[in-house]
Amino acid sequence: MRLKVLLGLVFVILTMDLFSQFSASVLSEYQNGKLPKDTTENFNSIYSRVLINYQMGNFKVGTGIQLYQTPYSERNYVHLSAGSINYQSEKVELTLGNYSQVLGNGILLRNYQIPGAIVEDKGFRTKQYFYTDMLGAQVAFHMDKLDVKALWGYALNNLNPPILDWELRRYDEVIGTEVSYRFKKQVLGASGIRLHNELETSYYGMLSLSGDITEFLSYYSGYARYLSGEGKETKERDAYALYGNIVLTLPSFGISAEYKNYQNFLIGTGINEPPALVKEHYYKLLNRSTHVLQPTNESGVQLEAYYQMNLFSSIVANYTLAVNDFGIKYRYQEWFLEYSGNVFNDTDLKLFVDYADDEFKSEYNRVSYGVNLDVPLVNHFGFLIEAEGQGFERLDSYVSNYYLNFTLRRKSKWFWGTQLEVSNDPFITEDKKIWPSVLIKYKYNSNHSLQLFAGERRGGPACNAGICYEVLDFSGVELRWMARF
Amino acid sequence: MFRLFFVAILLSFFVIEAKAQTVRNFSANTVSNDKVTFSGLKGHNLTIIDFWASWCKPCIKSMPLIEKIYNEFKTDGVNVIGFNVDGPRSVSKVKPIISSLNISYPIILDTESKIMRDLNIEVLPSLLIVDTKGKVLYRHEGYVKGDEIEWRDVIVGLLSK
Repeated sequence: MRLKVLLGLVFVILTMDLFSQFSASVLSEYQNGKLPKDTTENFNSIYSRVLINYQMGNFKVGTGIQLYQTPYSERNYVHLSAGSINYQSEKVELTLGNYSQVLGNGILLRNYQIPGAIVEDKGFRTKQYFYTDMLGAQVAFHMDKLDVKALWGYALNNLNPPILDWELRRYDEVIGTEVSYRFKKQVLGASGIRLHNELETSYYGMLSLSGDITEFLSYYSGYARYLSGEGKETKERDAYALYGNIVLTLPSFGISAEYKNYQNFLIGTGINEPPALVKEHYYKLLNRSTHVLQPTNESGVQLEAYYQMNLFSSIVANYTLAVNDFGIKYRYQEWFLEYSGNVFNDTDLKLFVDYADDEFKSEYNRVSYGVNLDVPLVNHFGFLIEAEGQGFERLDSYVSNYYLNFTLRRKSKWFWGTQLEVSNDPFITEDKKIWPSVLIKYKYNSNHSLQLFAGERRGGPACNAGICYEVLDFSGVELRWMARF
Repeated sequence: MFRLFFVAILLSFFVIEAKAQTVRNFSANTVSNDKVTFSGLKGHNLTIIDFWASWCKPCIKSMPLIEKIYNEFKTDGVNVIGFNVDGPRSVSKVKPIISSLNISYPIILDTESKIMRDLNIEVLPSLLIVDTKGKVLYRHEGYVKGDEIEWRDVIVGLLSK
């Protein structure tokens, strides 16, 4: 009987293949471990996220569920994370349910999704996929010279995990609109939002102008400000955001310059993400040291220049200045230089050096350096070496951080890696500490991949896709399965 | 019973070959502020779609090789569309990257990640090959040296069908 049921279920699921407009993705992560400093025993946990879509012509219906299960009931949940009906054509787009939107270059509203990021928060110690969205309705019209967007919905505050009530997670109600008019390679934009929650009702407006001045010179300029409303204190009403950039791109040389000035511009619980103007490094130690934008008060510039020596060799130089004035002024300055090239029979080489002063985090004379080598071998094998070092002064101590990674790979199918981090940072450890780990990835086919982590992971800030979040330390074993159907 | 059901689902997932996804027509802006549609950009035979971001190291590595494939196959009715998914924070880096890598295929700005979400892209870079009806025939996630050989073989195979 049981066998019949099993076979029956397999048959039913296999026949789903006939309904060729269904698609789904699954991300599951099993962990056995704990935070290294926890006094509790290791425990098992599983996080899973499933998204299912059905597409018929221009229509798409989607739903999603995420769950987290541990021995601690207060952290556990099964949550309907998404549900939407969407129509999309060249001219019109309409969504009811969950959707993602950006208004005013992110200065007024920005939703995002960090691919593959499952984040455990320090306060509630529960896990969730790291994304934000809106729940409501949106419509967009695309004409030759005119784009019009309008939306209404409740913005997701992902600092509050799914174990909390709907009202806390979607605290801000937003009504917004944006009109963009295109003329002679220029775009004139006007955006506005109305934000409403228990504490305030606020209206914000923004104007922007962007485009190409010549074939080689382009720019963006935008100014947003608080217009009117109720619930804000007088000094908070002096809220504005000014952002501009100018980019020169010649065939083998380019420069970009950006300017920002933000004052009291954290909207609601943080539905917006103004451009940060801080270089987001993909090097491990520098990424962890990324300056996090403070939209309540920050001004600064970012300059970047590159020189392309040939198709695979380039030099990039970057300068960042960010100033926060919270009664006391904090200055962040960073100089970065990187060489990237193809050497010794198809080997990729990257070298970088970085100098920074971060008054906000009391890190002075911070010097970071590193090398990446990606070497192809025979029979589709290859290996990657990443070696990085960092040192800075803080209070009475000198902090040193090191990161080393060696990964052997075969095609895109197998990756066998081992990592080592070392630090004497007194904010983290009393003595010198070592975080050793191994990471194995296996891609079964284009639909399934598995990833096994074992060892200790050093936590801290991580920045991805322009969004910074906190990763917790972990000690144990973690198995991740990603699938697509 | 629940365990049996779970096993059945798991088994089925490994057996099912996903052929489901189709690219819906859309309207979007290129990095040069031109308005384009998918129907206007797709190739006569195949379209290669590459999702990338300025902060994604393997993405940048793969782009000159995709450009090479584009130049090799464009006369065979193969077009390439690059989708940049940088957010507002880093979108100013896009033009310099395209220019420095000599990329000649169109780059669409998907700042809101709408098309990325529509196609369930969860890894960068992701490369799709779709037919004239927009049906996804091939999908590849990530990039390491040598992947471009596989892409080339897949294109040759699909064109010969």
